[in-house]
Amino acid sequence: MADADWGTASDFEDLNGQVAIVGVGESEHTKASGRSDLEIAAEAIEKALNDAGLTPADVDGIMFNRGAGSLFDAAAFHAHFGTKHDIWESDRGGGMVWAGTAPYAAAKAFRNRKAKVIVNSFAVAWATQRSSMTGGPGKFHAEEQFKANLEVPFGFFPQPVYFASIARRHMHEFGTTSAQLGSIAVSCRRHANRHPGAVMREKTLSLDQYLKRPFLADPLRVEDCCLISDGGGAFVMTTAERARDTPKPPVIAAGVGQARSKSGSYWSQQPDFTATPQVFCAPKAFEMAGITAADVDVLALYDPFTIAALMQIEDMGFCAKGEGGPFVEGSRLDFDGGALPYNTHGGMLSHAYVLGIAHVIELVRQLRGEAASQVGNADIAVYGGYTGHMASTLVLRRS
Amino acid sequence: MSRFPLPDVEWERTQPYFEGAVVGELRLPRCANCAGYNWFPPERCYYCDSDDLNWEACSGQGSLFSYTVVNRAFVKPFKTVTPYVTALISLAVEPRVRLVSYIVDCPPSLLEMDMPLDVVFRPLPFFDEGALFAGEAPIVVPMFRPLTAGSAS
Repeated sequence: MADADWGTASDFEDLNGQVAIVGVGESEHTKASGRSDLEIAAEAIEKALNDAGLTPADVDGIMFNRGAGSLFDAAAFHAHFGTKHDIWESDRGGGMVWAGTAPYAAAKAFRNRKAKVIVNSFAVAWATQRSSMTGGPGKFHAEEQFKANLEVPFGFFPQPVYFASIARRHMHEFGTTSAQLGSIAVSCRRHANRHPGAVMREKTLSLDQYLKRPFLADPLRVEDCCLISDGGGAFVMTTAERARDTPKPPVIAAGVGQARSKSGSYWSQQPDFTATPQVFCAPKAFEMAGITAADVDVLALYDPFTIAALMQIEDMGFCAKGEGGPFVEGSRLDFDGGALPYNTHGGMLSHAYVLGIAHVIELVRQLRGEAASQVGNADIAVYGGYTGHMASTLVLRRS
Repeated sequence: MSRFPLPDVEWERTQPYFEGAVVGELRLPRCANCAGYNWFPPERCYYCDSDDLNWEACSGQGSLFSYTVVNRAFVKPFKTVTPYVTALISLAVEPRVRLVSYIVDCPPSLLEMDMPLDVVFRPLPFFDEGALFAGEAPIVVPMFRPLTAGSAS
């Protein structure tokens, strides 16, 4: 086994019970829409505020991300809603790992009396931008100089290539099969077929169809890779006390964790090549929430590729390392009767490519009992974020 | 600035890697304190934190840690290059070093995980006839091929 110290978890204070998610909203998820990411984010925020029974004047905190996607800050908020009041800002929000850690930053802001109602949003217009190559998921990697010199010229670019080589090594070390990776894609597609907002709502996928599809970068097929779409999401957070007055049942943040790999975003150089930093942060988040993996009723994982989901399932302790293949096989991830209901909205593979924010929204809907593919008696839900060299874990529970 | 997808061979952090390839040497930063080879080139040794790192030539023998056959060009410059095999190569002198390069002189069907490999020095495929930078002075880089009895370097 590679060095056990290839990554580290952040030392987070306890937030269990301090933050509630009281409103969620999603834009339409589409192929190229011609809209800007700010317009899309605004649509999601309007819907989230409606869902929370709040008005724009109630919002005194906003979270976004500078690295990718929409930069919906206080100025953008005022420009859209015609408001003028003071709004606390944090750039430690958005999607990806930050969709999981936003409640942690919110808890701090609530404690320090910086804000009472915080909106976190994330949107991308990458389907629209793709034709002009002005943005998109590959941009960061193409511009990073070590990658530009030591990976890109050698064809190790973009992300499907990274994860194809990880998948092959996982297969070699643990005997993981194409059919097992395919099971993840098929469960996600089945869930998307049942979800009114999913990009892949009308397109079914069987395991036989999956196995007959050509390789994009073997052993990955197109169906192993996330969509590219335009879309966004937002969720509204407040303190657990304030949440008692909101129209929908609040969902409580019970545990949170964050970790990073020391080899940065150089997947090629990560000593433990077939693992994610979930190994470091999931145990911390579970401990904070006072749960074990066995207590989780529904799981949502940041899933750019089937193999990225498979590794996180192992690394979060839902099964032993290397046993993810048999664990996900067949319909074991399905919402109805699966051993571990997973990405019940379809995930980034089949719902939409909004980088995790829709995952958190789906979990909130599951815990409220209003999901399209509702898991029976869902009390505990977990989001796993995995972006580049970072991972995050968010445990949510029904209030 | 490099011209995508070409490397900036003059960037100081990786310059000796490309200079070595021109003269047929695989050069890597080696730690004077613990003797470990480091990759990607760090400011301080990954293993012992020493800052006494020097570029040295080393054996190009290694093994196939992982690979993928890329069948579709994800970006335009690779259109004339696909299908190709891009791989991670674990070096025999320092298994902790994982180089990224092409596997050449071997049909994909004959590739086997962990198979022994040896370095060769070839121009990047973007200078081939019909490719994006055809006609320009080619950039030579380390690539890898199956190790055979006669190819030990």
